[in-house]
Amino acid sequence: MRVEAFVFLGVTAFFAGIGTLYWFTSYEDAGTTMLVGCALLGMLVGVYLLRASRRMQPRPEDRPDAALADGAGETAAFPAASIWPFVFGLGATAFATGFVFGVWIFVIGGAIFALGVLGYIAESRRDH
Amino acid sequence: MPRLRHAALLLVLTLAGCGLVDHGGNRGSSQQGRDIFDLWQGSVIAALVVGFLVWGLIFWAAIRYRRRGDEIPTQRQYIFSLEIVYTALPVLIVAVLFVFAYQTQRDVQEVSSNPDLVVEVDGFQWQWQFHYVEEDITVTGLPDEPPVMVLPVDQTIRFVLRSDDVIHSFYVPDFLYKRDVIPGVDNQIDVDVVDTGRYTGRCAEFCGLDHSKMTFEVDAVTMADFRNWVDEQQSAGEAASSDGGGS
Amino acid sequence: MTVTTERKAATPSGGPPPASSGLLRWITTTDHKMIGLSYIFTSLAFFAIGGVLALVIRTELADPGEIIDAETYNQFFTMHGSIMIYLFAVPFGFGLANYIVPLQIGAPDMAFPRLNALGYWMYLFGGTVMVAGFLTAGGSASFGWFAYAPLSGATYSPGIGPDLWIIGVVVTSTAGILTAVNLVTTIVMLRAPGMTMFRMPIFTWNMLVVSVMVLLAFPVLTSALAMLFADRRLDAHIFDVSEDGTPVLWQHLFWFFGHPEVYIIALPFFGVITEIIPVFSRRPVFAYKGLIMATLAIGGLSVGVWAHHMFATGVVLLPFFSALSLLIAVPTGVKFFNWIGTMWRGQITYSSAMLFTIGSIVVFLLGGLTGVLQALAPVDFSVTDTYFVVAHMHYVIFGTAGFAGFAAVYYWFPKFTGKLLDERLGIAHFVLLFIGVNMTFLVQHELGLRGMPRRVNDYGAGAGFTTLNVISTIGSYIIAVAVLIFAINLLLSLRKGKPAGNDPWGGQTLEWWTTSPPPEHNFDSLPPIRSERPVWDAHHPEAIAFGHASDSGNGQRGNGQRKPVEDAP
Repeated sequence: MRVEAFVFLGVTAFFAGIGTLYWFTSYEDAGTTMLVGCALLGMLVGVYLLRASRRMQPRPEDRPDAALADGAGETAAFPAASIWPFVFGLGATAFATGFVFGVWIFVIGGAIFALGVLGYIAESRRDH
Repeated sequence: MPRLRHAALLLVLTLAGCGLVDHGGNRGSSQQGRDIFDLWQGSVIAALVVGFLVWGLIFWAAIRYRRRGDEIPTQRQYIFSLEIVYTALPVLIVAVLFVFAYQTQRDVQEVSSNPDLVVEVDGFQWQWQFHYVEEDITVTGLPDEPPVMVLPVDQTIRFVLRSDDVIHSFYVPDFLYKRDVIPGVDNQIDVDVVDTGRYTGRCAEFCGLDHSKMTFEVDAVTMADFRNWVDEQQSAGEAASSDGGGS
Repeated sequence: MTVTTERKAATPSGGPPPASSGLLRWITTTDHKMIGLSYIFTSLAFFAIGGVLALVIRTELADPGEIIDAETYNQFFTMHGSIMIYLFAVPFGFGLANYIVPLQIGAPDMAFPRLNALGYWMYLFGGTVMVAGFLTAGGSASFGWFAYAPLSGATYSPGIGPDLWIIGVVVTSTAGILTAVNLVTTIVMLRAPGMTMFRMPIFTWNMLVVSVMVLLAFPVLTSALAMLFADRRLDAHIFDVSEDGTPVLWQHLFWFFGHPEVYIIALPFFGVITEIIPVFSRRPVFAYKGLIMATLAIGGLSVGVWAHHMFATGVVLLPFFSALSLLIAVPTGVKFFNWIGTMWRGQITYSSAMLFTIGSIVVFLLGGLTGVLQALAPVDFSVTDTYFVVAHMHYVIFGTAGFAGFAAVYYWFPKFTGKLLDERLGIAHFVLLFIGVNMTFLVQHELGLRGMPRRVNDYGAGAGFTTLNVISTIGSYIIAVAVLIFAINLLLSLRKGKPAGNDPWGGQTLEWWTTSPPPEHNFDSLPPIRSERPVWDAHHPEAIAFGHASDSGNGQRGNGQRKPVEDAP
């Protein structure tokens, strides 16, 4: 998992460098803030992946000489068909248009949205 | 011989690049425009050379290596020295371009401490108003009556660019130059017109309904003619508007 | 040499089985293949809508004089750009990624299948909301797809069309963020044994980089849109000069998103090109690792160049953005040399997919060169906001999302459907599209150099713009015919296309190992994975790639010796 970690830490290093260069040449607030934000995002994922990679043995997909049988067994849980993404998506969009059309769409959209969120979470908990 | 070859290359590239090398026939009627045109020509030629090289390689490979038979071709995947070369060369090319561009940028953006003429340019939805500060002359445009801004050649003209509504852009194609007029931003540019003539000006930042009607005219004249025009305007009253009256 | 793997996808007990067919099945699917196809078909539908708008625009511009009124025209070009960028180019790439990435890494599905479905529905509904502005009394948004403040504020763009546009883009962009998260997690967590990071296909690598860019750029857009909405509806005055706001701040925020956005559009299609050329040249992709480095460089640099869209404002640091914009040409050029190097000494077959791929790099090259020209700030002073930029952008977009997008369809349609697209219609489609694109956009360079600004609905008869505009319009109709031929090919081949089998092309990557279309959890078996092209290695153990000590375990050191592919114990 180290390569993946370094992709993200590379993001941090790159934007830390560019951000510093940008600040001291332009003193422009908005761009600098966003570049620093990019560096932080890289760190968020990169540090996590780096620490995870140190805590574990190389996985079969990290080892160039791994045999396919090394990955035998269950990989992960893949939820079967579900109505909740559709409801959630419909509700989220309807709720958002409430900002445009006013309270009554908020309420209707919000209800569908809430239904979708709850259904999604409930199903997710059932699956585990 | 080298000059002949140089001219031939230029000819071929110009023909190939059609109006590209020539910037659509606009070679710059102002000093800044001429500087930009020089940079333009050099960089277009460089781009065309690189382009023809790469297109050439693509077409050569596409034709020369068409499939003949079932034999599997070489599976060589890396040639490290080649990779270094085709990475380093482009860096060199863009570095050279940057140096020239930076010099041109400094020349073109220079604002003199002592301009000969100051014109305040006010962009509004959807026309322009020009106010000659010292001479106290104002020229205002109407949507179907573009204003005419008379300017003297061989003088450093300071444009002070303002807007009170949305962002527009003050653009004279013949000057190869534009600068946005932005509410709250004090943009000032210097233009030294070199050639007399009549030039169209346009708004170059989408600003709403009649953006395409925000045109104006620049009338670049000799200093003597400019002085006459100023006198005429001043004696004709305080605020001059474009021909036809009404402001 | 195949080994049956016991890797299984666990399905939860107690969950409903997939509906057998029809609308319910579509609404409840969590299968990445079905979702990928949904993205692709929906994005093609939006492409058609955006294309019709373009035809109206081109018809208006062919001659001086107005056919439609200015407000309608402004709505049409705004929605043309918005639909093409937000609702076609990006989702199409995501659709391809959705289908192909899990297959290429040997995974049974994406890491978060329901999140995947959610992303699709938010895209569809968000896009519908955006376009629904046309149905309102005041019409849709009409301030251009970059929605510059103050024009996009409540004073100068009143009405709910713009508000719906904002909401639509926010919802669709959020969907993009979810997809990016899903792709990153899938790539990090679900690769098959032996598929190290440096054995992933380039398309998958590109999608990883794209996903990181989405995570960096899309939240900036949604934040900026929230600010714009607050200005419009909540009296926030963020971009309002009269209350100490800053219009230029909008541009910084928007372009910090907007520039990575165009590389988010391009990179998946660069990945497509890099998949197709090796297969149809029967060679490995040249300098695989260098290509990855180039992609990473493009991804990083593209986030640092945003203010090259703001050179004419007078308030940005020109040398910084000019230098970085010039630099980004280098890794892009490296990619071209990689592609040419892959073709070099190959045995090239000219299927439709390969024709479109060659077409795409030929077209993109011109766009890339005019991009380098605009990176020079003084040049940009002259050509920015003119038709020169319109020409540039359409060359790069048609080069990538257009030609390479069609190439992707011709290449992967057999995998999606088990049938081949008709090759003769494909050639006709290609020839007409190539002629049409060049006819439409080549002359626009000249128009820009002559001084024709962008986003004008009309121009004077004496301006010198008329003839070139007529040529451009005729070109646009030719493009329309080409797309029509493609649509016919799609429909005919879906019905009566020749059977494709697992691997009609001699593919190199894992998607070509399984059936066409793949079974529910993608693979019943996998070949050993010892390089970035496991299927090629399995079919041609005597012809492994060489020239560099790779991490493949059987790397050669250039002495020509080849070890056979290891048998898995």
